[in-house]
Amino acid sequence: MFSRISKVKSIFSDTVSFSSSMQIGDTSYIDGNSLALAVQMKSETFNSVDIHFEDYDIFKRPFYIPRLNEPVISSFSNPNPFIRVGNINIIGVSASSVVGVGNVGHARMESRVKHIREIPKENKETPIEGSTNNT
Amino acid sequence: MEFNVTNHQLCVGDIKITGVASSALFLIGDVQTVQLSSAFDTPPESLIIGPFVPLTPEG
Repeated sequence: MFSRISKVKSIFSDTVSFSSSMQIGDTSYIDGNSLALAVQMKSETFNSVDIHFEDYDIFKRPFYIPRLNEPVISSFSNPNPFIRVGNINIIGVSASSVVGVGNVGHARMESRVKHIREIPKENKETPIEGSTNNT
Repeated sequence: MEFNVTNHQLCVGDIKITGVASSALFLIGDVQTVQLSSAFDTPPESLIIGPFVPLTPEG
């Protein structure tokens, strides 16, 4: 169905991290998934944290996606078969993101991020009090 | 519904991006289907947008 060719003069990225990818060439399927727990706490020393994805609802709720089989009759024609792009400069690609050049069949990307802040409670002997706001 | 697309010339200059993150997709090309889902949960106090105005006058 698609027959256009992507022409990119140059592509540059400083960082591609955390299971991200830079895909050059046609792709039939992209399935990206990222789960993140971002914990901020006040501490004089760095201690490991004992937290798990399954403790939070955001990682358990089902993945909602729009349906694919929309009743649309579509047709495409490409009098100009090129997509021309100049120089691309990307500082960072992170957390299961994809930078692609070329045609893609299906792309499905999912991201879930939970922020936690542990704030020390004032007027108490024990300084650290969890305020994780577990929803 | 009928959907007809005619792709004439597509020319883009230079692209500068700071970041592509959290399962984002940056694509130069054609794509048949795209499905994106994102969930973000943060403590409520971090969502308060300032400035903080006192509800009752101090005194």
